[in-house]
Amino acid sequence: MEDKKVILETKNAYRYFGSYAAVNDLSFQIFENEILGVAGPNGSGKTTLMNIITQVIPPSRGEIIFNGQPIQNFKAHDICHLGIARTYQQPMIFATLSVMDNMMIGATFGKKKGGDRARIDELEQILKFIGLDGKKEMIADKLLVSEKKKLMIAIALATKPKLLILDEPCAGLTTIESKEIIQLIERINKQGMTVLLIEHNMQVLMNISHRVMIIDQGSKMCEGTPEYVYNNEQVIEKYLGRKKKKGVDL
Amino acid sequence: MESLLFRAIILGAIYTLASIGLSLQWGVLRNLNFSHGASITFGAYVMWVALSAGGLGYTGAFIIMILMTFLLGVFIEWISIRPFFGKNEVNVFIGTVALSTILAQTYFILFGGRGKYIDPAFDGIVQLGSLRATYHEFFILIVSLVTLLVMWLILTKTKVGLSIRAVSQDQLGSVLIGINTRRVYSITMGVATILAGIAGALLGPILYVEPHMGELPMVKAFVIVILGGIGSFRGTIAAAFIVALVEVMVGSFVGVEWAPLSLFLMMVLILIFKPEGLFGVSERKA
Amino acid sequence: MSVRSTHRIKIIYAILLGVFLLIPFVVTDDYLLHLIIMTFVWGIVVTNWNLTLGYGGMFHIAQFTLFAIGGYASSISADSFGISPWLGLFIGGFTAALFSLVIGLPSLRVKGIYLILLTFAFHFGIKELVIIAREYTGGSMGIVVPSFGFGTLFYFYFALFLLVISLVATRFIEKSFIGKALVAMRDSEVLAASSGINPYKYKLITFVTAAFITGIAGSFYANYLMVIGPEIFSFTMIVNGLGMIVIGGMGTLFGPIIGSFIITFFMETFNAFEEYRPIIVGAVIILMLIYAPNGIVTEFNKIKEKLKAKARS
Repeated sequence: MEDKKVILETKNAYRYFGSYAAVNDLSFQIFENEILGVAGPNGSGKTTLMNIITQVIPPSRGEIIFNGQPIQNFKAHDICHLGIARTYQQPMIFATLSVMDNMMIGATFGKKKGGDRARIDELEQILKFIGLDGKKEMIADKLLVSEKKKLMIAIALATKPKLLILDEPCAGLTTIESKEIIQLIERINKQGMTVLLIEHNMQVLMNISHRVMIIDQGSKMCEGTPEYVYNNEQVIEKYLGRKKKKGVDL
Repeated sequence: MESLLFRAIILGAIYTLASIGLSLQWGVLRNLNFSHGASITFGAYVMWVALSAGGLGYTGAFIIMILMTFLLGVFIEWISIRPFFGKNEVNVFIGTVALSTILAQTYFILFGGRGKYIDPAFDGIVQLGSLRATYHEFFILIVSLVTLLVMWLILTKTKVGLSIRAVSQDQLGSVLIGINTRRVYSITMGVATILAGIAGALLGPILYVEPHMGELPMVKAFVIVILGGIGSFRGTIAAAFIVALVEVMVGSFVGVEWAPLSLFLMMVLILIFKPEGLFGVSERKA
Repeated sequence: MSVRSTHRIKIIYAILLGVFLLIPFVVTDDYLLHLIIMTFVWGIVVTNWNLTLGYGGMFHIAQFTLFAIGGYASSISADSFGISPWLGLFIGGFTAALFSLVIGLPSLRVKGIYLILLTFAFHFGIKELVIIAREYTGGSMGIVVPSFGFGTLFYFYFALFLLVISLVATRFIEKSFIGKALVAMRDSEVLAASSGINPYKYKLITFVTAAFITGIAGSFYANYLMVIGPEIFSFTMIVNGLGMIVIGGMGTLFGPIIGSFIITFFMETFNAFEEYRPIIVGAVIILMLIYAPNGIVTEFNKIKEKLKAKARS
């Protein structure tokens, strides 16, 4: 694990909203082919961290390095062209287009011109892999929530990324649907994809991730193997402990 | 020089009234009303009609104007904002623009294109050292101050004012604590239109009252609201005086025809480089 | 099925074009022909406006700015520099395209009310400039423009040609990858950007393309009416233009032209009630926005679908 190649890292990243630091001096690394799970209480800055990595909002300060290249001054579409794809917590899709056309958007625009454009059969393969092959022609707006979230992953895969960022892919889904998504993520990872996963459910996160990072108030609280994090006192006290007391925290 | 400054202050006072309603409306309804100019004109015409009818006196006419502009504001909200509210801000734009042409044409049919003159409440000229001012200019200052004071009292001391402020801070939260937001929208538009109406009534003796008289002040109000930071009252007041000063200075040192251009240039530059305005805080992006 | 239906549509287009080409042989009344030409001119303006706001999702009000710039550019080049009106058409188109870059570069970065306000400021700022540059523009009096010196027939066919070009450009952009990007951005700009679409680039391409044709239309308009003045910047123009798009159907190919036809002929038919026309137009716009916000074309399609469904069952 130690001699693995770093694919993405942030160095002292900050993001302010007014005077409030949603991401506060955060540095972390993700290695090739691993699943890095990110957890933290609501409002801890997980989504903001993903947003500044993918330039949905620019970081206020600090460095973000992808494959050795600083990317903190890039635009969102450049990030995609470089090979970072992402999904969102809310089901976001191109609502008026068919499922296939949704994929075509990712395939056509995901790489700069000259990049290998995905052919229809490649996209069909992705759909099959995701489990949406029966709904190719359906208008995306008509899909179920769980299917929309799968489609989001499919669009991301259609851009042929090197790093896939998933922002709470199970949020709002039933237990069975969540299980399906988790299995899907494992299958994607087995094909060699690096995955950065935000997940609220600690149990799920501990099971699937190779390493876990806990964020609190915009800063890294703890990082390491699932076992290490699970036994970290600070985490137990502030996060797992709180969760036990209050019961369900979803 | 003093007289230039004095003119800027008087203009600034009127511009404050003309623009603070827009700012209030942005705070609560999160959109801009492009029939605001027609509301300014409306105030001036009501004043003219009420004064010409005679027997009411200036105070009576003023009260009638306030009542009528409030009703107009409620009507504007009902016909051109409510149907599209929260769905499509572009339709709010088209709707209020369409309404403004309807209103302007209605004025034209009722009163003709010829300018009407409103007699000021107090006629005459004062000489203070090198400064020559009309009583009406002092009247404008006083009315503006009183209006702002009353508005401040309403917003901070009354139940209606509190609900307006609550809605402008947190739409969803206000619904949850049982505020009837629809009523607040109507009332806000009513109040915003009263402010426009007062501006129109004060402009009456300075400009001639004609169907499109409010349009240029409205455009200036947009510049002001943007300069001050959309939704910020203090910013709006400060910006009103800045715009008035720029207008007076450009008008007297560069040329009158350059004054409007300088305002549009200001508007473009602010929107490009500092869209949150000089005094506004950039909105939190989630 | 779909192959046959697109083929059928092509035939319908060809027949429609044929009918339009024959109009001057049927309509001999010069005034009526003039109205049809004006319908075409406004049709060009609103078709290109619709390309940017209906298809491109950029709600701006700089359309008449660009139209006026095209008109003034060719008129000034003819009036002050003696350049032929033919070349003037291109000068108009290029100047409008150039200005669309100046306006679009800062404006298309923002959205919603900010885009409206910014283009609003450009529109009236440029109007003030035109009034100030009296020497070239004739100030508030305007310029008398030398005409092509051809008859009405020439203007009719040229306007029809520009209209067809506008429609083809709209359809071409819609079907190309630019159109795909525009649709994706309209559905979700955030997801579009993180799927690799540079929103700014595609918006700008669309905006400048529309501006080029609009500028040519502006030159044509000035040449045809032989005069151009600052009234072209008036709010009434903007309202009428928006009315055409809203009534016909925003984001539909033929809607704006139908809207242009309705408003242009309405204005003429109700000539006797001149004073009431702006009120009626305004009221119709508001009523349409409330009850049929997608315009006549969309409503018509809905009815057609219903009838089809009934026929099937």
